[in-house]
Amino acid sequence: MSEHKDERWLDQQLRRAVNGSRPAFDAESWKGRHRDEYEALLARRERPSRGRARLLSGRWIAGLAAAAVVILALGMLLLGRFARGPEKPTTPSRPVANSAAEMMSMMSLRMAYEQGGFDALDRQLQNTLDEFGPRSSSVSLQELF
Amino acid sequence: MKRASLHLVSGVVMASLMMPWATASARMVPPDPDNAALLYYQAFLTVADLDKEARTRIGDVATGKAPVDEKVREDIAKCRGAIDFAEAARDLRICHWGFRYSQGFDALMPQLAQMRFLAYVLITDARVRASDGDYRAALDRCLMMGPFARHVGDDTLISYLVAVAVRRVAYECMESLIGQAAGDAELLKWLQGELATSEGEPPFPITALKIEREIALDAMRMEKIEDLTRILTDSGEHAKRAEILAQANEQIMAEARRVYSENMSAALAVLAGALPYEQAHRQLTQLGEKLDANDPVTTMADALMPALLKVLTIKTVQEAHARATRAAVDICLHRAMTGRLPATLPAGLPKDPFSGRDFQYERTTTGFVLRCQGKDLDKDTIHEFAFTVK
Repeated sequence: MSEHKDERWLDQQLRRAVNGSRPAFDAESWKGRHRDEYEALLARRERPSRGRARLLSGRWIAGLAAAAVVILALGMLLLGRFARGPEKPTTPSRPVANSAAEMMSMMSLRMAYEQGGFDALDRQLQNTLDEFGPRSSSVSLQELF
Repeated sequence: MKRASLHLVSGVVMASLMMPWATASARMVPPDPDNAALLYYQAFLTVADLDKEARTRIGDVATGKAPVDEKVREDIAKCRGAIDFAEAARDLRICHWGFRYSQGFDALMPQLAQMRFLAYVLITDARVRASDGDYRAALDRCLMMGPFARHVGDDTLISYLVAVAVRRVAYECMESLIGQAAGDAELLKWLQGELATSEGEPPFPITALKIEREIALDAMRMEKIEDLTRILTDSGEHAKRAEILAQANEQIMAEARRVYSENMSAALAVLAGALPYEQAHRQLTQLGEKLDANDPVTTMADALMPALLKVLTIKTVQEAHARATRAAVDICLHRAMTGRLPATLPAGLPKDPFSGRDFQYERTTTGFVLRCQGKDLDKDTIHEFAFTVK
């Protein structure tokens, strides 16, 4: 089946659709007109090339995934843009990290100890960890590869 | 014969040519770090990202407030990578945290909170091992806290305090384990040897106070007056200190540095010396009494003086913990060999550092108590260490 023939067939189908009638595919007449192609298709179904099929399906999935990512990204971008409503100047939020970081300064820890002894120092170190947490990927190299 | 010696010579030449190549290839693999801090930083990165509840659970088991259960076992299993890094750091002498001294009192010390948590993980691991009946591994984990506490640092006062706190938790864990292993003479002999040799130097406040002195002297300068104001007003008495700082000038600052330096040097001499606790406490108290609260010079100097009396007491309590632990091992060893606890304290045991005399020994229904004979003058209390014997 040539590219030219394909286009003509598609044009016919479109014309029929534009004229108001539903495009209908006449399989029997197509089989009659393209006997060789039909047999080739049947032969492929009987002896499927697994590698090629996997490759094709892999490509198809990869293409689909890429398209999904693009659509998702566009969607999120648009949603984010419209959900925000009209642009207005935002006031910068208080830098939480800075104030939390102060809990770890020598002076702050020293003050905690002087005011409440070991218990207060321990509490402040605990609070520091609650704020920042023990950072961890918790992933071994084996799990990465 | 000639041919044989020729072969020998050529063999030696070949070997000498090959040797540098062979050793060069052996040197291709760089050595492991010799700075313990680098291993601890890796431990922080690999410690399990546990939620607050799990962290509290670990803290409670470490401090003996809660028993070992399945949940805490799972938590500790997730921290195995971090424990391995801490173990690798154990034998390293050097531990440089990369602390930014140039930032003075504003320098951040994020490693302290992490080290505190890692200490809890290690002690909880010790308790898990003990609950599995492996007392030797559990006690070894406690012994590991000696170098660990030294690594936490005695380079600033606050890291010294955290080091002492970490060490205290380890001693408390050891105190609870010694009694459980009281029937095992071999284990106790091993522990006796380890406590005498491998535990390492306890954290000592002198280096920390010297560094603190330099940081404070650097802060007491007119060009840093704004930072100093912030530091002083952070510490309370806002109005009073703001008023004094409004009067500050080069002359007052220079005088404040002199007073501060003299007092710190005198305090360091007391803390580094071998004075009995009571006498050292009295001398430090007298140093504080010299400072006039209405004089801007002495007020400024006093504001940056560390709580020296507390430092002295903390140092002494830590020494009491160490000595009571060593004495308890000897007492339990006596029991393991004779089948009963001694009626009186055996001779030659470590003494109570508060009084310089023997610990007061008392047998109880569950084991025995070692009580200090001197008083903690800060808290007006007597420290005692109870050992439950199985």
